[in-house]
Formats: sequence, structure tokens, C-alpha cells
Amino acid sequence: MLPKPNLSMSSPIDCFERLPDSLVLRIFDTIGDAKALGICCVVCTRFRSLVPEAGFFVWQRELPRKYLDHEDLWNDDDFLPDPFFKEYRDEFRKIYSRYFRQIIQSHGFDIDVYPGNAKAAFYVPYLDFEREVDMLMELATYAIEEFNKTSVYKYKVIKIETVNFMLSRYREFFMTVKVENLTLRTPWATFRIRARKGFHGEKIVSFCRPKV
Amino acid sequence: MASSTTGEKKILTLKGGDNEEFILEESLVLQSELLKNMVKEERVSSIPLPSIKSKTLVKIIEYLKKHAELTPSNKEEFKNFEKEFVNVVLEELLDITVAVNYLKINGLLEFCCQAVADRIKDKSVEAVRKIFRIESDFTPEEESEFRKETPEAFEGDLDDTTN
Repeated sequence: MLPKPNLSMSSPIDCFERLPDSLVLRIFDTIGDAKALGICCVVCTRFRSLVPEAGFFVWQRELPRKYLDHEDLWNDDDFLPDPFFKEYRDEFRKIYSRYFRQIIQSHGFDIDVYPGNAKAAFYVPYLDFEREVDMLMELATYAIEEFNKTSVYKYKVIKIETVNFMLSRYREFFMTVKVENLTLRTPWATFRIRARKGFHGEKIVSFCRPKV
Repeated sequence: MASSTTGEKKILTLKGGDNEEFILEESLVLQSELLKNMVKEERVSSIPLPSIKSKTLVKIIEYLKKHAELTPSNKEEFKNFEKEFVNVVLEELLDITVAVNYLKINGLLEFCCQAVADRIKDKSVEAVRKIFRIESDFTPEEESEFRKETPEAFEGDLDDTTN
């Protein structure tokens, strides 16, 4: 079918009309850039209603960098796990600096400090992830299977080493897993996987790469 | 990959929207979750896909074939092929993306979504509207409020050079 020769402006056909919401969301998820999503927000009402769904993650992901660069944004309400800790504010600042720096450097995968249950501390090391190991294994296995489809080498998940999650409307998991290279039979390799369960229980993988 | 015990390659027919038929090896379509389930559970040998244009189907089959030939030595070549694959006019790219989403070919879907996302990135609001032919359905009051709140979204060069 040939494109219409005359794209007259009098009859615009919205290109996105035939894309289901789930697909538009997936595209927005891929944009991964707060500025571009901000622009999408003011394009039309449909975009505006869908962007927060995808944008929340992007916006939140950029917060550690923002906090680290602008200490004036830090406030007791969001940063202290308990209002009674006010006198330890300086100690908490030190912990938060280290915490945000680790999140940025390791993209959320390796954190060895955690300020505690506060609004700004939304990357949480999941120490007792064994409680949900079945669900996490399912996500990791799915991520690796998807990775295998476009990879020359085929991998298989052996075990999950560490898990962090980002606390949001859902939890997005940052998993470091050991995998076996089924093609080369070499020693176990390490992969980093970022994934979550979607609205309808579907598995959404936003990152899956060998750790370098 | 399912190995056929008979050693004989199973053949499958896909029927595009304009009734054009495509005959291919069954193993090729297993990359599609949707078709895989149809083939495995219902043991069909002909699948009608009325919502997918033949032109789009040709492209997708081309991808499936290339993908099946992927080996360590032609990885680079495949990457170049992928790049060229999405280097088409917007209308066609969206046709492919919608079809791939329907067929559930996950790797390719991710790639297509990225290609569509790339056409949205670094554009002004007006440019996105023009490229995707979206008409603003905000009230004039809302529209002027956005312009006041986020003037930078409306600024910048009107880069709508993408097909």
C-alpha cells in the first residue's frame, strides 16, 4: 500500500490512534528521558494521561542525581526516617551522600548503606528477598530468556545474588544474578537485571546485561 | 527450538490482510509468541492475519529469516540489518510496530519501540504533533497555560525532518 500522495493538513490522521495504550506506554518507557516525556505531556490529552504511568519511573530514577547536586532540596520531612532524628541531621547527610552516590555509580544495583524508612530513601536493599524468591526467579528467568533470543550465547539463571528495589507505585527490582553460559560452558557469569511486574501481572524487563 | 522428529520441515501458511499467502517453515514463526501458541496448541497449518498488511508481513518475515541466520560471525551484519529495518517512513514503522506487538515478537518489539521513541526524542511539542499528525485537543486556556508553565517545551527548532 502506498502512502497517500497528498498529506493535506485539513484531515490529519492521528498516527497514534491505532496504537493500544499498552504499546504507547511501552514506547514512553523506552524514551527514558524526563525532558522528552515532559514534552509528550503537553502534546494531547491522551499522551498527558499516559505519561505519568511511564514518566514516574524516569523522574524518580533521576532523583538521586538531583538530590546529590542540590543539597538545598533536602528537607527533614522527606529525609529523616523519624522526626526525632533531627539532631542527627548531619550524620544522615553523610549517609545520604554515600547512598545516592552508590545508586548513581551502580545504577541502583550495588548499595551498602540505607538511611532507613524515609521518603527520599526509595531504593531499598532487599536483604530477605528469599521470601519472594520464586517470583524474582520467574522475572530473572524471563529476562534471560528474552536476552537469549537476540544473543549468540545462551544463558541460564543459576541463582539470584542480591536484590534492591525501587519503591514506587510498584516495586521495580534491581537484581544481580549468576548465570551459566550454556553455549561455552564457561564459569558462571554475572548479569544485572532491572524488571518489574506490570499492571496485569505481565513481566516488564527494562534492563538485562552482563555485568562488566 | 522445536526439533521435528520426522526430520521433515513443517510448512506453515500465513495469510496477510489482502489475502496474499506466505508459505514458510514453521520453525521461523516460533519467535512469535502468538503464532507459537497457535501452532503448538491448535496444530494449524494456515493462519489468517487479516489485520496485518501483506507489505508489513513481508518485512516481518524478512526479519524472522535474518534472525534465524544469526551466528557469532554475522552479528555486526545483523545489527546493520536491524538499523536499516526501521529506517522506513513513519507510517510503515508504526504498521510494523503494531503488528509485532500483536504477534508478540518480543526482541523485535523492543527494537521497534526504541525506533519510535527516537523519533519523539529531542523534538518540540509542535514538531511531535506535526510528525505524528496529532491535533491538540486541549482547550485554548490549557494550551496557553502549558506555554506559560513550560515554555522550553514549545521552543527550539521545529525539527520535523524525520519521515
